[in-house]
Parts: sequence; structure tokens; C-alpha cells
Amino acid sequence: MSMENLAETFVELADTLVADFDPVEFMHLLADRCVTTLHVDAAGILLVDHHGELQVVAASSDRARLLELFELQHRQGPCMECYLTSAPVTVASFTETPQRWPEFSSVAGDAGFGALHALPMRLREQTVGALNLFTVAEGVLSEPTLRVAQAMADVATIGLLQAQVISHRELLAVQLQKALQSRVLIEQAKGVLAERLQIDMSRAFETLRRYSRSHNEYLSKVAEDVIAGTIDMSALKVVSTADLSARRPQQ
Amino acid sequence: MSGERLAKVLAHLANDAAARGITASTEAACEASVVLIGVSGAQLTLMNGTGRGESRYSTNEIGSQLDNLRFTLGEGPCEDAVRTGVPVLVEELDSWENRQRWPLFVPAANAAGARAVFVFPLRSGAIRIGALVLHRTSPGPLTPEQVYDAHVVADIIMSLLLDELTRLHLDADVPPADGVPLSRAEVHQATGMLSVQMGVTMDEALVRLRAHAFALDQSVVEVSRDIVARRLRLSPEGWADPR
Repeated sequence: MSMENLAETFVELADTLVADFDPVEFMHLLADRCVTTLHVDAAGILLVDHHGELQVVAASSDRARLLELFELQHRQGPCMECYLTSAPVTVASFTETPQRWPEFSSVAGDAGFGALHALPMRLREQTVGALNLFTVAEGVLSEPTLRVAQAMADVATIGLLQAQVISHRELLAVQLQKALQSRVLIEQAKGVLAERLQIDMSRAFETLRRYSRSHNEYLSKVAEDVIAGTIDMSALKVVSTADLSARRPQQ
Repeated sequence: MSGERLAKVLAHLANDAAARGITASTEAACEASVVLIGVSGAQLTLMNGTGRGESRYSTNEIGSQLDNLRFTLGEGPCEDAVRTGVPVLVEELDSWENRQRWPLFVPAANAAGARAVFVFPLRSGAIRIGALVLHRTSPGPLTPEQVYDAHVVADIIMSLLLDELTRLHLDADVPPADGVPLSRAEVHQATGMLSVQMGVTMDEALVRLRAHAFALDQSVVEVSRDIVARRLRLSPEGWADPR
């Protein structure tokens, strides 16, 4: 983790905090930067919905195994524990016994991961979710790395809330709703794209992201256009057939 | 706290329905939300084919009038909430700012007796079927708890409406909603895939997905997983199409 990289990351994050800020876009950028800056192997951001369940709003990759790991934590698991206690939760090894969350640990181990750190996303007295960091290697992240990770979780929380003046707490509920709905939209668009281009869900997601970046459009806007059928499918097809494996190491 | 809010709202709806000797319905959910959320009235607007929307139910006269105003004037908190898909919470309707925002709606709604309006869209991503419109005859904000409860009630109403549509589609009785929201990623992905396979809107695709699950006595999540894994395709007529 270099100082330059870190500074660059925070400038890039701050740069997205503009008037027509898209929470899901911001969360994805943050999940990506966690991977590159903190040298972890996967990152995900989970927010609590009005049913008290944790929902994934962004992940550094949409590999099915990774999403499954997040979904296993809807109601219980290290991430829920972190959210409920507002304190970091670490599983330093998924293989040592006994495991506190055996089902989760077994799926995580099968997916090729060795350890997990969950960091609370909180602002003042309120906790809205948790940042999950997965590493292939077992063991605990260093103290300085964890401090930066917590700073990134804090930035994510501020980012989520920044568009509003936090004088009324109900606005938080509205912001959360917006972020969660954007995620639903993206999942629906992945389905549309997977069927139209006959590709799998993770490729569909990468296609949406790549298109959104190269056209400088928000991910949720691209998702809406895919669903409405107002987007140029041939342009998306070109994006989808580009070599995606070069970007991220396979796990 | 997991699931507690949903359990609380569902228990309230069940008790309320039992006390009135009726079964759980969108109307009962509106009536119950008045007490549960602490508002003067609740009204349900559904989007119809024309996209202009129509009132399905109102617990009082003010609610009906608010929807008439929305329809005739084409502006107001409900119009904004349905268009953007985001809740619109107006704790003091008759303010300078709101009179600028909705110059026709505010004075008329004020004359009808509404002082605060809170609108919660009935929405799941691209699927937008209407809105739950709550109002108060005195100004003042909802508490965060009330906002969360209102979201839960909106989810339950959405689920009841989808069941209704599923019943229509199957032309058969469907077990009553358990009120559990379908928040799993596979369900949204399968809905997207189905909309392409069957050449229908996202709303219609979700109804067909639920109808298929009910008809085969499977869970919606199970059917969704089969669709996403391409083990199951549905033809435009709605029948499983073996590959």
C-alpha cells in the first residue's frame, strides 16, 4: 500500500461526491479500490434494509461464489455481527476449528478464501452496514491496513449520506432505499443482458460496468436503458466479448 | 432485530384483519397502516396501462381528494415519487419551498385538509406499480421507525398485489402472501431473463415467474435458480420449455 496510491484513491472517491451522485456507482468504485489499495482479494459492501437484513449493494466482482457468500450473511454471520455490534469482526482462518459460523466458513473456504475482515459502516451513533474484505491467505491484516480500511468504510458511509443534510434521520432511510433499489435494477439488467447475449451473470455485470465506464454513464442509468431496451445492443455485445479474464486473477 | 419489523407489521395486519372479520388485503393493509404508522389517512395509487395511475383505495375522504388532485393537476409528491421511484417525505406541505415545487397541488391539498404527505413507491427495481400515500392533518415529520415501518407496509402491499395478479394469471386460487419480500439476487436476475424469453415487461415477467412457482408448488427462489442456471426456460405461453 503506497502513499501515492492511497492519496489517489481518496481523491478519486472525493471526486465522485458531486451533485448528481449515484450511490451504487460510488460503492462499486470503493469496493474496487479496496482490492487495489488494501491488497485484499475481494471486497463487498452490505447495507441493512428496512427488514433488518443485510443486502449487497456493491462488490469488487460479481462472481457467483462471492455473491453467495454475501447472501449467506443476510441474517447471520460475521457481517451481521459487525453491523449489530458496530465493531470490526475478523475470521482469521476458515479452516481452524471450532468455527463460529460453520456453514459460512465452509462456503468461503470452498470459494478459495482463507480469511475475512468485516468493518462497520457508521456515522456518529448510527450504523448502516458493513464493509467485507476477503483474502485468499489466512491471517489478520496489519494494523495500518485495517486503519485505512476503516477510513474507506467511513468514506463509504459519508458518501452515502452526503447528498442530504443529516438533520433528519429519516433521510438516511430514503438514501438506503435508493441504493438498495439501484442494486435490484442492476440485477434485473444483468438478467436481461445474460439472456440477450447468452452470457453468464458475472460477464453480464462486467459488461454493464465496462460500458458504463467507457460511455461515462452511471451504472444504474445503463441498467435502466438495458431494461427499457433503449441501448445499442451491438455496442454492448462488443464490450461483452472483450477479454475479461485479463483484468482480474481467477480464484 | 432481524425480521422483527416485518413480524411486527404482519402481526398487526393479521390482528387488525381478524378484528374486522376480513382477510388480509391491500385495503386492510391501508387501514392498519394508519394506526401502525400514526397518520391521519392512507391511500393507494396504482399505475394502470395509461401510466396516469388510479386510486385503488383510500381510508378517508382527504386521501381520495389527494389522488383526484394528483390526477387532475399532474403534479405533487405522489407524481414525483412514482416518477423517480424514491420516497417523497413532506412534513410541512404548505411551505414556501413546496409551493414553488408544486404550485397547483399545495394550495388545493391544503384546502382539502392535508398538512403533511409521505409517499412510498411500490417498487422493485424497474418494476413500479404504484405508491402508498400517507397524510396527516397536522404538520410534522415521521420518526425513522415510522419510515421503516412504512417501507415494510409498502413491501407487503406490493406482495399482495403481485399475488392478486398471479391469481388472475393462473385463474386459480393462490395461497395468501406470507409477506416475505423477495430480496434475493437470483429472483431479480431470473425476472430479467424471463422478460426477454417471453417478450414481456419486467412486471409481467415477475408475475409469470411467481405463477410458475405456485403452479408447480416450488419456491420462487428455487424456480429463479433454475432459470438463472438455464435448467429451465419458459415459453411465451408460460410453459416450461425443456432444453
